[in-house]
Order: sequence, then C-alpha cells, then structure tokens
Amino acid sequence: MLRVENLVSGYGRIVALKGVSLHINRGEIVTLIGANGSGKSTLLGTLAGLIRPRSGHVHLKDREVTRHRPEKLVRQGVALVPEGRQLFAPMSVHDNLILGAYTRRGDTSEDMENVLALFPDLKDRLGQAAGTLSGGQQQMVAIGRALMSRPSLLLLDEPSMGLAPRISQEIFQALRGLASAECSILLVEQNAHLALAAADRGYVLETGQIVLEGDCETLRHNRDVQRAYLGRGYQEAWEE
Amino acid sequence: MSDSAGYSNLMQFVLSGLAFGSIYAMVAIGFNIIYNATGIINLAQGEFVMLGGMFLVWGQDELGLPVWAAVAVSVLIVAAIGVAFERIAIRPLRNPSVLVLIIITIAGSFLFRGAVLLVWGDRLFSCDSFLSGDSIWILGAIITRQRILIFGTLLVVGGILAVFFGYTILGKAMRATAFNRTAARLVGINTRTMVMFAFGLSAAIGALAGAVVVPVTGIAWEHGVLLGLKGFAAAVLGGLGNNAAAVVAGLLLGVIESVAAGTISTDYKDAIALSALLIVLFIRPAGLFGRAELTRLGQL
Repeated sequence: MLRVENLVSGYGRIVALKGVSLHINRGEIVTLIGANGSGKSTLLGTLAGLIRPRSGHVHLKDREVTRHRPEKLVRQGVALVPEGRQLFAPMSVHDNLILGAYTRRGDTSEDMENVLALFPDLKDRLGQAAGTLSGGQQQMVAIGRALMSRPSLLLLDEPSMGLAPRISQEIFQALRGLASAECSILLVEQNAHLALAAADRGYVLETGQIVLEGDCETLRHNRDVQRAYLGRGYQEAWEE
Repeated sequence: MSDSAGYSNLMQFVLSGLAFGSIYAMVAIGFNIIYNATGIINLAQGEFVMLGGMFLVWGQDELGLPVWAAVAVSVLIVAAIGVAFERIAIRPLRNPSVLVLIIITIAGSFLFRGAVLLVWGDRLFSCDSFLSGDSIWILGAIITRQRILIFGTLLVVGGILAVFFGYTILGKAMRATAFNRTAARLVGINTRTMVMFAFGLSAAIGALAGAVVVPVTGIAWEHGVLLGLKGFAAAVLGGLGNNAAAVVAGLLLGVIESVAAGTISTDYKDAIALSALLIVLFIRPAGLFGRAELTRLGQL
C-alpha cells in the first residue's frame, strides 16, 4: 500500500527526518509513536506533500509519488487530518465536509451520510460554523472532511490532542471501524496507550530515526517503550 | 429656504451620492477579493477601473460596438489583464513578503497609467448614457437613468457574488483558501489557481465599475488614482475582507461626499470624505463592521 524508503526531510536547515523507512499493508492501522520533536509531524507533512523531502522515495500502490504536491496527492488517495485540525473555522460544518470532496466529481451524498453515521454528533450541527464546535466535534469534522475524498491512505496527526479521554476513546473507536481493504491508516499519536490499543503495528520514532518496530503487542511489552512512552517508572520496570 | 425645499435638496444629494457610493463599493469589493485570497492590498485596483472605462470607449469608438457589447469586451479584456498581471508579476516570486507584493502592485499601477497615457493620451473620454430617456423623479429628487443603472449594477454584482461565494463549490474553495491555505491545499484546492481567479474577478468587477461611470464623469488616464483611493477607503471603512460591509461603507462614503459637496463645498468633498475615514479609523481601527482582530493587517 505505502512504502517509504530512506526519507530525509525537514524545514529550512533543520533535518527532522534522517532516513526513515516504513511500510503499510492494505487495510492496516499503523501507528507512529515518539516524543515531541521526534519528527512525527514532519513525516506526515512530507507524506501529504506539504514538505518536500530532500531525498528518499515514497511509493503509493506501487506508484512513485515522491515530491507530489498536496493537491495532487489527494487525487491519488492520500488524506491528512492535520495537527490542530485546521478547519475552515468561519464556514459551516456542511461546507467543511463538502470541501473535503473538492477533488471528486459526481454525487457525494452517500459519503456525507457515511460521515454522519460515523459521527452522529455532527448531524444537528451541519449549519453551525465549524469554529464554534467543541474540540472533539472539530476533530470529527476534520476526520470527516478527510474521509469525503475517499482516501485509500488516511494520515492522522495527533487526533487525541486536547480532548477529554472519553472523547478520544470515541474517536479511536470510530477509527478502528474505518480501516478496511479500501482504507489504510497511519496514526501519529503522543498517547501511546491509545495508539497501541487501536493499531495493528507500530513504529517508534526518535530524533528522526525509526528505533523500533513491531506489532502492537510486542511494543507494549518492550521495556524501552514502557519506560519512555507508557509512563511506567524505572522502578516498576526494574522490579519486573 | 422652506423646510420642504431643504428636504428635497438633501434627498437629491443622498440619491446622487448613492451612485458614486456604488462605484466605491464595487472598487472596495475588488480590494477585498484580492486581500482575502492573498493578504495583499492591490494598489493597482483603481487602474483596473480606469482601464474598464478606457476599453469601453475604445470598444464603442474604434470597434463600433453597441454599448452592452462594449461593456462585455471591456470587462473581459481587463479581467485578462488582471490574470496576466498575477501570472507575470506576482506568481513567479518565491516566498515574497506582503510588503514586496504591495510595492509590486504600485509598480503595476504606474505601468498601466503610463501605458494608457502613451496609447490614448491625456484627453478626457466620454460616452452617451447607456439608457436613453429622461431623468426620473424619486422621493422628491431627480436622478438620471445612468445613476440608477450604476446603483443597479452594484446590486446585481453584489447579488451574484453572494451566490457565488455562498453556494458554488468554486466560491467556497476561494473562501476556504482565504481562511486556511494549508487546509485548502490538503483538500485538493490549487491555491495558486484561486489567487489567479481572485485577480481576474477583481479586475472584472473594477472594469465594470469603470465602464458604468464613464457617462457621468468621463474617463481619463489619471482617474484611477482617486477612484482607487476612495474604494480603498470604503474597504477599510467597512473592515477589510468583508464584502457586505464594503457595500454599506461605499454607499455611506458616496453619500457623505455628496452631501458635503452640496452643503459645504464641492472643492472639499474629497477631503471631507477622507476625513470621515480617518475619524472612523481613530475610533474603530478595524473598520465599522470589523472584528477587533487585526492579525492580517499586522503583516504589513
């Protein structure tokens, strides 16, 4: 589905990714965990075309898409739910969702129904300005907007950021249901608990390099992961 | 002077002012569309208005077109000039600052003015009223048909824009680009194309304003400066970026100017109109209808 080889990328003079390789199989949810500044958002930004990589290759469905612009990548099936949601705040929820389908021709009412079935909270708020919604509802609009393009690869940047635990649970529940043969998911998350529970496989990113990979079960039991990302103290890990 | 005569005089000034106010409103809308798409103030906007008038006269006199066809030709030519200006002067820059872009638009305005002076000279051009027939009595005032047409043009332009930005996917995409450029790219909107559209649309609306004003004031190479300035005043008065506010502010400016010219002095009408702008900006820096946030102006 997605194959990333030796990707080097960054902003200005800062090299935030120092040769990252990873892959996502069809229908998988893959998570990328890492601390602040480890390069997670740079990776997603590069995959979505917002940042041009210095070197390396990105293949989507066996086609090279390295250095494509975002507007072209959307048409090829990549949709990013950006950090901080980035809604068109003064526009209505309905318009935000409709703009998600900007690249598509023809009837999109079915997709609209699917999004509203996934996030029933939005049904009564279609006419409301997106910027006036609660954080959780805004995140739902952001995910819904990305889904309107019918992506085959959905990229999510910190969907739980700033949300109450119960709302995060709800959103992650919805994500689990989304992954299918038509849609694979790459999930970047600081909350490693949530991410490892939702995903099939995971990668650990540290200062721009993948330091660990494996299925979520293995990662959850890895001592370094526990210590650094799951919040288990040195002592607990030592005594085990 | 009796009370009723005073009333009808005032009515006369107000209704005459609405015609010029409509022109200012249309110029202001042109400023807003480019400002929303790019964050820059296009100081060549007044020149688009002047070119609109010039090409109208050219279409009628040189091509022998009927007036409506000449308006259409003029609007299309000036829209094409707007698009070309964006492609040649604005787009090739990599990461330009807002200030650099604004200075480029000043250069553009000199260029357009100079070109017109070179080709058509410094003569004042005019043409007949678009609608034949006598002036009309409204509410105790007498108004020429051309002035009513100007006001009607504003209403039609405003109505079409409201539908375009509110209900069409292209209009929504242009607004989305204004609100959040990164998100716009992420949903697949080509934001550069939107900027090009914005220049074309602004130029077209400016040209239309310039065309309908010719029978009233005539048109000459230097007319764009003051029309642009008044339109800019209307845009700022309403609150930059807000088209509905620009219409109200433009009409208000036209009426203030006309009443001042009628009751105080015609010589000082421009000064009085622009003083009104200054006073409003001292009291409400974001404009009459603007919200307090001045973040985008902060880029200047």
